Order: sequence, then structure tokens, then C-alpha cells
Amino acid sequence: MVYSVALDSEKELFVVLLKNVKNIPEVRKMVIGGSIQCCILKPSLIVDPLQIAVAAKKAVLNEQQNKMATKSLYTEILFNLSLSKNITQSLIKFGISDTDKNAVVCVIGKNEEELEKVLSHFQCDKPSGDQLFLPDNSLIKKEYKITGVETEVSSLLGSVVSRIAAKDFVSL
Amino acid sequence: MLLKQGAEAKIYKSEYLGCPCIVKERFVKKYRHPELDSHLTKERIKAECRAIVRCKAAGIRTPTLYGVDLAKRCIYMEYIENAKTLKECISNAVNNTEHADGNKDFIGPILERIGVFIGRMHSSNIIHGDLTTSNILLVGDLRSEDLQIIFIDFGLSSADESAEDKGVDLYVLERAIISAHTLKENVFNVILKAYAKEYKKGSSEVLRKLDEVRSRGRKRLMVG
Repeated sequence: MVYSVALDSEKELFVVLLKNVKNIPEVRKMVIGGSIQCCILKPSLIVDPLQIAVAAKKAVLNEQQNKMATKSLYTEILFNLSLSKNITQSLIKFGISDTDKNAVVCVIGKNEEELEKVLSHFQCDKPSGDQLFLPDNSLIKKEYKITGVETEVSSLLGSVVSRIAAKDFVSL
Repeated sequence: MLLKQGAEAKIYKSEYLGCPCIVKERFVKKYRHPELDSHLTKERIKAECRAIVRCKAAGIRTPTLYGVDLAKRCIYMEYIENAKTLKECISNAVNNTEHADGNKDFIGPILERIGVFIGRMHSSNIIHGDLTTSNILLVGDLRSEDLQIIFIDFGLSSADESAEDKGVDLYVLERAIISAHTLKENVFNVILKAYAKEYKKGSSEVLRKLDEVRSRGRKRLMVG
């Protein structure tokens, strides 16, 4: 299943979960080298597609206002997802690493064909079912500094999304 | 769709990334110097976001923040569905329109939980700034423990340790509950008791300040 949402009148975000990817080091190199336009996230740190959408929307807005902290829209998404102001750390933490088997692939474009083009580089199981994510809740709580007293009254997604939206002026 | 217009901002209902949302737009105040106006507005927006997130971290339910656009002077946040304000609930209970059995016992436990939340807020040094019964939302069955209590409108909030500001927060809520609803004064004591229990370290000083504020009103006397 592909998740998609409009980020503005021209750009749409597409997100898909790929399982058992066999050539992660290879595609990772291509993404870093710029021959594939997308970002690949660690599935364990993603609660819900909305989390990525909020970070991507913020990236698009920063691009329009010339306020990006990083060099491209895709690295900006990775940076926005993290609470850290350290760019390198953010990219390492939220980006896929060579030893990962599963991957969340995000593409910003005009239509789903652009996603298909990116996906053609991946050797993996056929995307099946409606599963989009494989969250590791305790890892997510640690990464976003969320404690038990907070999850008693707020949803994990609400806590994560609010922190991403307010990252620039809130430190916890 | 415009929901509300206040002195500081317009509130719209809209959609953000497919989710129903509230847009809070702080409009330009023409009587201010443009640079000062833009600076003040940005600082207010940041303070509001900070309070929303810090309240969550302290264990208080607030609307989810979806996005902030400083250039457009807008905050986008969760639209809370099927919510009633505390104000509506208390007046319904008092007027007995909804509860013909005359049983108002359910108000007590709600106020007790509100006291706990305000205790958490103040022990984290978050001042709400406009703690009225319209800014506390209730979602769900009023008699159930699962009733959600959500604090909204942190537009006047600040981060402050002062017992004075905390006392004013409590005073504003007390006036809102007692005067507007002609409830007995001991009703507010339910809140204060839970508040003191939750906020062990600083509540006695705040309650002393509350007494002071009660005797002189919300505004501090300006002498000298």
C-alpha cells in the first residue's frame, strides 16, 4: 500500500514500506550520490505516515522561504524528523543503514510514476497488505524524549508530531 | 471557515495534510510599528508552541501541533472533535437541563482531575495565562474515568517560576467557575486540594498568593 498526501498545489508525498530489501548498501550509495531522488527511513522510528508528512510539509515550506538547514528537500525531511540540531546525527539516526533489512521510501513528486521509477532500483519482497510501518515504540519514546506520564494522556503520534512541528523553538 | 475572532487572532477550521485542523492566525495590528508587530507576533507564536509541547511532556493533554508558519503568522493544530467546554458542562449541570435527576456529583471528580493537571502545569513552571472554563475542553462520557480533559489556547502563556503568576492563573479559573455559574465556593476547593497534592513543593506559596490576589483583584497595584 502506498500512502500519499498533497504537500502543496504542485507537490505530493508518496510513502511505501519495503520488506527484505537485499541491496540496501547499493541503493543507499545511489541516493547519497544523487542518482536516485528519494529518502529512505528506518521503519522502527516511524509511528505513522503523518509523522513523515509533517516533516515533509515543513521541508517544502522551508524550501519556499529559503530557510532550509540542509542541502536538499530529502535531507531536510530527515533533519526535520529528528529533534537534534546536529545534521549529521539526524541523517544517521533516521536514514537507513547498510545493515537494515526493511526500509520506508519517501518520494516527493507530481505523480505515483516518480515513486515507481525509484522503486525499480530496489530488490525486495513485493509490497503487500496495508502495513505501512514497523514502529519500535520504546525506541521512538527514547528518541523523542517521551515519558510514561505523557503517554497516559497523549497519543504517541500526537506527541511525536507536535515535537517535529515545534522543533525550532522548543527544547526538552 | 471562520470559527472565532478574538482580539489577537482569527480561528479557522480547515484541513492540514488530510487531518481536520484549527488554524490560528494572528493578524497584523496596524496601530503597531510593523517591525515591532512582526517581532511580537513571532514571539507569541513560539511561546504558544512551547507551552503546548511542554504541557504534553508534563502529562497534560493539549491539541497536537501540526505546523507553524511564521511568515503567515499561523499555527496549525488538531481540531478536537465532539468536545464540550467545561463552561457548557457546568452550566448544563447547574441548570439541570441535561441531568433531570439533579445529580451533579460527576462535576467533583472532573474538577479534581483538572486540579491535578494544573498542578502538573505549574510544577513545570508553565503559566497558562487565560485559564477560563472556556479553555478547558471535555471529550467523552462526563461520568467516565476515560473522559478526556484538554487544555487549549496557550496564546497568553509564559514560562515562569513566579508564585504570583500561578496564583493569578488559579484566581482567573476560580472567578470563572464560581461567579459565572453561581456554584458554591467549596467547589473550587476540590480543585485546590488536588492541585496542592500534585504540586507538593510550591503550592503553599501559590495558595498564599491566591489569597492576596483575591483581596486585591487580578491586577497588581501599581504604587511607586
